[in-house]
Amino acid sequence: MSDNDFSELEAEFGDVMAILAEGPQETPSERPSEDVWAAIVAGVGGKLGVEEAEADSSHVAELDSSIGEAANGQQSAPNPMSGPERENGSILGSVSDNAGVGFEQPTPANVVSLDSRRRWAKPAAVITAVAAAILLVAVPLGIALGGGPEQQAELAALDGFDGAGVAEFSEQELAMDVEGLNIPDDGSFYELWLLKFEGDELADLVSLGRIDGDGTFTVPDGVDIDEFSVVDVSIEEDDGDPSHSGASVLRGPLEQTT
Amino acid sequence: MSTLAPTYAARSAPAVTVQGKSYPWGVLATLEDRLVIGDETVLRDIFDEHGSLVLGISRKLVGADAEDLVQQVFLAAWKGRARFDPSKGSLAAWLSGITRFKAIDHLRAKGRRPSTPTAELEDMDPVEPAVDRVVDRMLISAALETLPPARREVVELGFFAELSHPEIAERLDLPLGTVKSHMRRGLEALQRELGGSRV
Repeated sequence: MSDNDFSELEAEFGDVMAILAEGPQETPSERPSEDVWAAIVAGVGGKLGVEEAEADSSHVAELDSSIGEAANGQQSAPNPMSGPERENGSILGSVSDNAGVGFEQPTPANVVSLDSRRRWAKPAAVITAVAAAILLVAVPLGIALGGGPEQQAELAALDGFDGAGVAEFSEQELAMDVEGLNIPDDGSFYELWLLKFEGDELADLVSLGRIDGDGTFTVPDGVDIDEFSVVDVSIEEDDGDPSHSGASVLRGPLEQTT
Repeated sequence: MSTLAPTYAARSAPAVTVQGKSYPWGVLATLEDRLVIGDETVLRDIFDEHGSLVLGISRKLVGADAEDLVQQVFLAAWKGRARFDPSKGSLAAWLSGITRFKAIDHLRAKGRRPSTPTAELEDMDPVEPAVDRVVDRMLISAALETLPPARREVVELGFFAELSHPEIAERLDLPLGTVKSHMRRGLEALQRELGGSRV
């Protein structure tokens, strides 16, 4: 670089330029091992709402036998890891006053009473199985509706969330199947919505109710499904506020079937 | 059967506001946003994205204790997530700053000598500026890789190949003004990274 160019920039960027002048550095590429991650999770007390590295598959057998119990409506064991992450309250406190944040990220439900000090390690497939068994009774689509669906929506997870779903509509009835949604243990719940957009703007929305184990919903009289274009699943705090929290987890376009 | 009377909420969808930025419909895309909002699943993603930077800095500063330091840094980052201010700098810069802080603590506890001597720090006294240099170098090196390609190329040609602006313009077949603009923007971004590790 010529002296002129150099001196003009140095006044503002001298620090960076001194570092760059040392020449190219090797960017570190070695990743920390899974052991380090396990230590991090342990240090946080396991309250991370994330899948941990699979320890060994013997857990799977134990979980399978407990899925049956849980699906029969047995109260899920109190979550020993839920000394609640109310520190989140301080996060919300530091967020702008306009924040309409009404949710906390759900943590995996501890429906299995393992040794409470042992972190439960589960591969993704098992989480899905547990969630689907407990969150929603898998409805045989089409049969439940007594005929072919007229509209359907495939729901995909929004960035940062997991899960997927399918919703099928016939007349004013809806049958839905979702998988992969973690079950909140803090009273928050999932809610199903129909959305209507005009261009990019939300023009209207209607709640079809809580998602709480039954896969069938009724679209209220007077609501014309054809006017709505999107099916949405949100996570809501149990605070009595009926409006949409703004935190959508799954969403998909509503389409006519053939 | 779940049936509710229709709940027609406000005509405009309630947006989530995080530090003055509005996100309609809970679409929180960046790691920074998810950290601020307290999304518990973000820590693993941050570990995947920035773990190698933190480990790389740690290796140079504390040698064999690097993995311990990485763990401490991520724990501190999680516990201190409410203090992360995206407007002050990037996540990488913030994590580098925490790494620097924890490394200095570690080195002080060990009597200002790393457990395994590393070339950068042996016989360097006081410790802090030496640590700063290591952190800064790694942070800038990682940040260079995130620059838009045109800016990165101009900065590298100017500093690593030591070309002048006119020489860069000729090499890349770009107008001189464009080269100057790329250089300035590139340096601005990198300088901001340095600042971000000092908060």
